[in-house]
Amino acid sequence: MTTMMSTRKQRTTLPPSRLGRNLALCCALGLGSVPGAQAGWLDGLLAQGQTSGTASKQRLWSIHEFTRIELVAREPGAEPNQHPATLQPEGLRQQLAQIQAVGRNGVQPLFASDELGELVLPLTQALGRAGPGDDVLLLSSARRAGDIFMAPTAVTVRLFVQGGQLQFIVRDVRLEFYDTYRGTHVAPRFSFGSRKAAGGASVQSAGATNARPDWLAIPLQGAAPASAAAAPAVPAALAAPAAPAAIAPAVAAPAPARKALDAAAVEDIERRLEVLKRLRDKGLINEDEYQQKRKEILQLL
Amino acid sequence: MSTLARSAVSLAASAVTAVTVGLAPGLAQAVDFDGYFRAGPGATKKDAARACYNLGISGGHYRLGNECDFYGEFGLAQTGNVDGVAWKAKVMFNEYNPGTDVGPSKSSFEQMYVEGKGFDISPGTNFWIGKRFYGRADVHILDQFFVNMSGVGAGADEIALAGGKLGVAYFSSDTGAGFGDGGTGTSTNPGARLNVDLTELPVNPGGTLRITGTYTKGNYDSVANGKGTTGFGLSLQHIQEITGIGAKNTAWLQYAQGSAGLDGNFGTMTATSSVKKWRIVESMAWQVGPFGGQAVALYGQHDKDDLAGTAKFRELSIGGRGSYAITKNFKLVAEAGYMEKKPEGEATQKLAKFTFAPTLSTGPGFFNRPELRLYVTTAKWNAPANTAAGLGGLTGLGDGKTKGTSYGAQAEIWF
Repeated sequence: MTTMMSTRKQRTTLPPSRLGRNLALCCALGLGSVPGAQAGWLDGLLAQGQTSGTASKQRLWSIHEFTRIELVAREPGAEPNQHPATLQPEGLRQQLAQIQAVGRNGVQPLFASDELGELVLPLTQALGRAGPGDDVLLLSSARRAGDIFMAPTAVTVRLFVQGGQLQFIVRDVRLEFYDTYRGTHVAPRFSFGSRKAAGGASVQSAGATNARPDWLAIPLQGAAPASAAAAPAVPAALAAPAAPAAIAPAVAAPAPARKALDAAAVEDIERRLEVLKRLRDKGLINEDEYQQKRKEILQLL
Repeated sequence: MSTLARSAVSLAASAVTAVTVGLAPGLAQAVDFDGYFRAGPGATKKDAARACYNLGISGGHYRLGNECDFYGEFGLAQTGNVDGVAWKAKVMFNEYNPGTDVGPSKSSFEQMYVEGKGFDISPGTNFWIGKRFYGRADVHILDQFFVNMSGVGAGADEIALAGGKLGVAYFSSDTGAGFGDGGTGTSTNPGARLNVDLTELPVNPGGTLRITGTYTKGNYDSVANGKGTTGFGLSLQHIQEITGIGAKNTAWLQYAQGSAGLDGNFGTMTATSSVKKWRIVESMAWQVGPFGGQAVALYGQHDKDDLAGTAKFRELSIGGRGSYAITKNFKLVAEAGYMEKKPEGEATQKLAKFTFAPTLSTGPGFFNRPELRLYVTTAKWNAPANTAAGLGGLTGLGDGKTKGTSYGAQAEIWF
């Protein structure tokens, strides 16, 4: 917590006397970048791939112009989060891949697969560096029509770990902001999900429970395996109330011996089947989608 | 093939390669590709080039069906994170043809800069250096940026202050001219500019204020170029969200003196330091169901300047563009504008323009792009407007007429 608060203090103003020195340093760092592992077009210039350092003060992961992950102060009045939380990137990717947005255009994956590929690692880093007083905000924009000349749309989400689950509150599933931004040159303002009130979004996942239509609680199964050992050491004062959580691969998990389901889980499955049936009856999903989804839900029994 | 043409081809090839590589599925850290272009054929009358109808004031160009040029800009950027520092490098080249033929056009790099945020010495500050578009705010239907600090410079921004964000930037120009002047490398009339930009100040529910200060100095004194002068400017911009009708209102009150421009950039570097100018601009954009649009009203005054050789004048412009979506992909769009320029001791120059444009688009919104439009533009102006424009008159056709009609087709896209 001390580290995080100190970071915030440094975000205030820049003393004029230091401006020249800071600009000079900025210039020197820019020119002195060393080419690293090549993963992108300008990686040589930006030394991309050299992300293995321990930047414990990092609060912002900037991925594209309108794609970023940021640590912000927890919503006022909310219980402290179980942060930091150590998650398996692959497990998280599989869980997020199962999330579907329900909207006017039917049911579709919330994230594209290549979009997820860019989000998962910084998301695990953000949750791993967050303190109990931090929420994680995710803004992800992509040209989802698959055409580079089409305007990107945005997904906005608030994430935090509570009750041994990754809480995932969606505000916008396909926010159309780009045309207005280009037409007015006024920077868009994004809103994120809130614990206090439901937004208009509706999401679902076979691997998670809906606390609200816009709120998924994603179980963190098992204990942190090998990846947790490699995670940055957590100061005792920052340790989560529970043991560091890890998302086990949800889809890939063979689940040889399932635990007996409790009444709440059965009730949840029953409710999801009803929602699914309602979506089909309203024509929001077709018969194939209904059957496929039904099968996935029944596999949880 | 000309040097320019080869350059353009090379740029285009580089862009295509980069985008192809960057957008390949599965690649982490893909390249961001953004841009804009417009192009299309048009005509006015027999034995004449296509004519456009503009008055030489800051709100004198209502652009729908009134663009006698080709323009495109294509940007590539990559963002990355290195040990807590979020980096972004951006390049953008553009292509401009002042006519609408397929012949040679001008190509140049409009942006080349690097910025970074998260440095341990000031994690919340974004530092940047390079050539870039900076702090631009416009009224789209006029193709006019009312704040435009673009140039070659260095700065720090996103500094939290009073609930808003503070930016400080220094710009330099070899020619003492504004953005877009390439200079020669041997120019002897350099200018320097300092901007202080405080943005996103929450001043009322749904409203934010932006305060932009400008100081300019021409660092030269020569027989050929005159003497560089100082100047300063202050721009207030208020943006108001009007959620009930899906509207956004933007108003500017701007004052500048001497060599500073009203838009926060360089003005005329030989302008007398005591010469004053100001303008007030009101603009609203909205989208209510199928009906969207943007409207603007502008009034300003400029002092006489003997050094710069300009007369005192006042300017007035009022107009708007509306679109009504008949279907998701078909809109009826119309734009009307009226402009005046009144130089002291001279007759008032007047111009009125109207355009009708059936338009295909990917969505029903006013700002949805791309658009494929057919248009008919008709305009009427007075004799003083012809006289002020020179021998060719307002249209450049030199026929002495005070009304005209143009028609054509145009594609416009941003991405």
